[in-house]
Amino acid sequence: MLQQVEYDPNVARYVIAFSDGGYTTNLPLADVLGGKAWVAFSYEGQPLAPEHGGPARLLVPHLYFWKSAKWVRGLRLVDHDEPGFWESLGYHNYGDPWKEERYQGD
Amino acid sequence: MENKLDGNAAAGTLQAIFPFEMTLVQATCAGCGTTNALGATAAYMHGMGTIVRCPVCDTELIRVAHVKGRYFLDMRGVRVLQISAEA
Amino acid sequence: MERRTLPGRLTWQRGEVVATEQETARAQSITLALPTWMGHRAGQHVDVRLTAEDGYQAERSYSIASPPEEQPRVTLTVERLDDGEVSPYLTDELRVGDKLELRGPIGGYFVWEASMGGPLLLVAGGSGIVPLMAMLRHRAAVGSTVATRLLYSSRSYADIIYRDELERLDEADQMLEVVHTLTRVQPPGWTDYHRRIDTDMLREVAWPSDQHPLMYICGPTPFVETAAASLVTLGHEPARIKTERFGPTGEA
Repeated sequence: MLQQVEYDPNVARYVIAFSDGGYTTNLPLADVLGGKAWVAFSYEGQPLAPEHGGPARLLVPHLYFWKSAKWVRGLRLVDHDEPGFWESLGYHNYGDPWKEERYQGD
Repeated sequence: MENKLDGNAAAGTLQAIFPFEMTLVQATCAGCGTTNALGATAAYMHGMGTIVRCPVCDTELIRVAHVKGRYFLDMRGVRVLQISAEA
Repeated sequence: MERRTLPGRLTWQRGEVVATEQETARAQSITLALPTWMGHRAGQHVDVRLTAEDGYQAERSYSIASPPEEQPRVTLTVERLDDGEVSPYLTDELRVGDKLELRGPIGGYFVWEASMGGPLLLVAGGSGIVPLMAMLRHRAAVGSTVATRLLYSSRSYADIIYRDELERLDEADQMLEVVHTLTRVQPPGWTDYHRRIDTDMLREVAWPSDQHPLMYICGPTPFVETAAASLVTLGHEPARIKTERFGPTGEA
């Protein structure tokens, strides 16, 4: 999807996903490129149900589940990192499950 | 979907932090300026934390997470809290 | 209003289960003896915390069913949610003599006590009856004559929690009226309502708005929103309507 967006890779280095209800989550841009992440609109041929994050959910399988933001409205490319909704409430900024990066300081 | 409850449902966590009866505490919303008892607000309970929203304009009044023995409390949506010191 | 001691910060304590009672196929009452109970008011709840062997913890809120007059014993009534993390343990596994970790009492907003007067309208959906039952038991325990109506929506006759006790209270008390609606199945000869709660039903059951009743609604979120919106439609002041929603999944 981001292949269709023109951006300066030297400037845009992070992405903020923003969702219904004011939720946000922050990711390094490199973590959503190259097929590592996608936006899901359907599941098994059916439109994605709201309880599963529909109509649109960001899927970032290599990071902790809260990075796979439900009810996504848009992605914003930014030049600096900024903690998202849960990241600013004590959760880990990056969230690598293999390193058990669940909370700040992990 | 999110699990929408009343401010009552957030009171246990808030009262583990503040030594007051929190559902009767009046909060003035920084978004729309209305004042409501926390018991009359909306609370959204997530596994990760709890969000208390203004019943009028949906502004996030309070966000709280209990993470590794530490409370993270974001109250930027509250302009004023009125707490009865006589219970 | 009388002065009360400040509650202080809530801390967890371990209560001992001293009795259990099956109320319906899905609902069980659990009576606890608590080491340090500061006293509760009718309508309040507690948080219950379970800790798994690996340290994983789950917390849920449960309303107190017993009146303040039965302190220091406290009874919770828990409805079993099949996919719940906490309620199946409480309804199926917990035995007399077991310990249960909880904190409370919580919530001074959704509270009624006899000194607040009435008339009183209580609207319950399913296990939303629990905090309202504490109010009715408190009302009976102190001999209050506040005019009270309860509208209680259940799926079927067998799902009515506290059915016999409600019938006894209703028969013994001229100032109390209990009205049921059964939304799915009705027994033969059923004469109360047999549909989901709606504005017409509340127009018939609720006190007229010019009597300025105190109103308490407790149940699943859509039930509470329907009942509250109906009462506002009927001209009641929103500030006199207090609500307590519980999530359909019990997730908290």
